[in-house]
Amino acid sequence: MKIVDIFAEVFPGHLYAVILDKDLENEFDRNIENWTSVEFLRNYASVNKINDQISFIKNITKEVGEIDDVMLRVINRDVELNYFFRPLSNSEFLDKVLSLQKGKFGSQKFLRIYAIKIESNCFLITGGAIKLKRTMQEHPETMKELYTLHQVKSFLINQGILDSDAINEYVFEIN
Amino acid sequence: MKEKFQTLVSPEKTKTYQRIKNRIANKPHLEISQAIAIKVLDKLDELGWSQKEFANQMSVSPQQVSKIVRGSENLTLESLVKIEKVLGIQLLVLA
Repeated sequence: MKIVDIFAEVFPGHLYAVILDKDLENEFDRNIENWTSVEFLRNYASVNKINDQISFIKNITKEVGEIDDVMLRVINRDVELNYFFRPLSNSEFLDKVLSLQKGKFGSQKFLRIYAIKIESNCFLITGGAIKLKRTMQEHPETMKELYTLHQVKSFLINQGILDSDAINEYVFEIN
Repeated sequence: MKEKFQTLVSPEKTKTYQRIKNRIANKPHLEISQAIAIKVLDKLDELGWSQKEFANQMSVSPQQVSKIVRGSENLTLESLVKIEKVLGIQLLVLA
């Protein structure tokens, strides 16, 4: 596993991402590349039995656009990273009450970027997923991300960088 | 803690920032590129063609076909006309 600073040339020292396999991209770029591929999204919709593929692709595309806008604002120091990362709470493990979510935040967001918080405004992205209306433990893709999160956290604890009893798992969210 | 963490960080550069800028720059034509990709993929399914077969029919590289079906490529008129001809679909409509 490698760790890279994904904005090293413009905003160093704040947002990092893991590279899980030497042949792969870092986890931020790898997921964004998938989420911006019509071919990938079309296959995903088909496998997950999403009937309205065009709306699905449009929704994901819109969310990626929002992520890009946020990242530029962060790089330009208009807003802090802390604002967009929240602790990975039980709500990711339990069924969400969608009516409450919709009432407060508008339409449901599908994209998740998972990270370990190193310190304030400093995060290490471990992966991402398209999260449909299920708990993390019910969908194989998010289960895999949960596993990776724990593996990376264990690694950082062993390196003496994190405390074992602290909650360091975070998820990126645009409200 | 952060200083210790930074000793683990690889000096390897990423293209993340450039890619974000490119995506934002390409936003105006993105919806159209995506619609083309969907239409092309639907037709390939209908014809039972692999992307390799499509590349052969188009006389282009498989990498070029990958770009088309990604749906983020800024295709030239020449490419669009060629795709129309090879697949027998309509992509261009004059207003």
